[in-house]
Amino acid sequence: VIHPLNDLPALLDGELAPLDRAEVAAHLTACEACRQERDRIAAAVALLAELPPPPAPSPGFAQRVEARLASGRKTAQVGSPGGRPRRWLWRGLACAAAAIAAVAAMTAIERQRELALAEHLELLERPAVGSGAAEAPAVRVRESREERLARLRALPPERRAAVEQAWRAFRALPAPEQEALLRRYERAPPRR
Amino acid sequence: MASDPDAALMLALQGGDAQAFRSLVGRHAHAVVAFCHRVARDPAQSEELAQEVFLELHRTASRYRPSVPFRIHLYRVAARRVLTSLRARDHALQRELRGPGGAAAPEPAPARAVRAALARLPDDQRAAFVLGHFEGLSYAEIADVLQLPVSAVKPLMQRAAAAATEALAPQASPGGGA
Repeated sequence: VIHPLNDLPALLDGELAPLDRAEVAAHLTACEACRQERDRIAAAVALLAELPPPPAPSPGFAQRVEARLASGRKTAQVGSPGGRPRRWLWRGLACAAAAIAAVAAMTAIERQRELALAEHLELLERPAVGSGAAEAPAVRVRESREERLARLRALPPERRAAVEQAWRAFRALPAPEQEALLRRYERAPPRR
Repeated sequence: MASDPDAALMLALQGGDAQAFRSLVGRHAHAVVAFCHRVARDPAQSEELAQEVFLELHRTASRYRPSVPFRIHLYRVAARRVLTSLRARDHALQRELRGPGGAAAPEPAPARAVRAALARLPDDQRAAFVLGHFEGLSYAEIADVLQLPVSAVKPLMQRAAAAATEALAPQASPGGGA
């Protein structure tokens, strides 16, 4: 007799295929040892409910994320083991940091926008994107992100403006239409 | 999926809408902090990790495709971030294994046992186990998040369940368990 011990967690999780489930269930009706093992696993899993709930985000969580986004810092480490800088220095540093953060935030947004344009470049070059009626290409150009980015940057100004215009029109579509358009586009087979 | 408000927010973020990002943080901060806490097992680090998850979500927003449910996308980013951090630092697990939690508030014995059992799981098993048992994801969704074939999730969950069962056997003895 083969005991389906490895299938018991999946059985309890409701993840066994119907045929396997029927087979394991039939085995369980006849096998006391496997029933005990199933109950042992179920009891252990039930104990998970004993864990206290995880901590909620502390107040100001969202603001800290935004601050880190603006400053472009990867890790939140503010340590000054040395002496205390004077107040004027703090003030100067704060102004400089605010200016840098503002520039970084703008740069991050611009960069994000450029990446999004590059990501959707081929779609945005299709006619009638803004009406939502744009047909996906029969085949999709397979380019890396860098290649698309380079192509976007190399566009002549009028074509770049057209892409930007198409992006604005695309963004003005209701979200379901945007999604449908992207899904149609992704279904097109890629080609090099 | 067409009515997924998070997908709409991600598309807005792709268009440079800062408010969309704020909304995403507001809507999912709780879940991300909880996930980081459960997988990293280090209260001091979970919020820091959760912040990094959102920064990564923002940084890679242009790659988001609505064909992937947002929840899967978010957990994918979170799992990658937490597992990378654990691999690099491995401090949380070690700390947990050393003792029952230092200055943390005293816990009832079953909770302590569960915490220790989870901490002893290898990182990938713990991530899969947390996704399945705390976040309510199916095996297919776990596979999607951890970027594994679905066939790899079942043994992962089986080993995690076996280890947890072994560790929790004294707590889950007949009469005290399910």
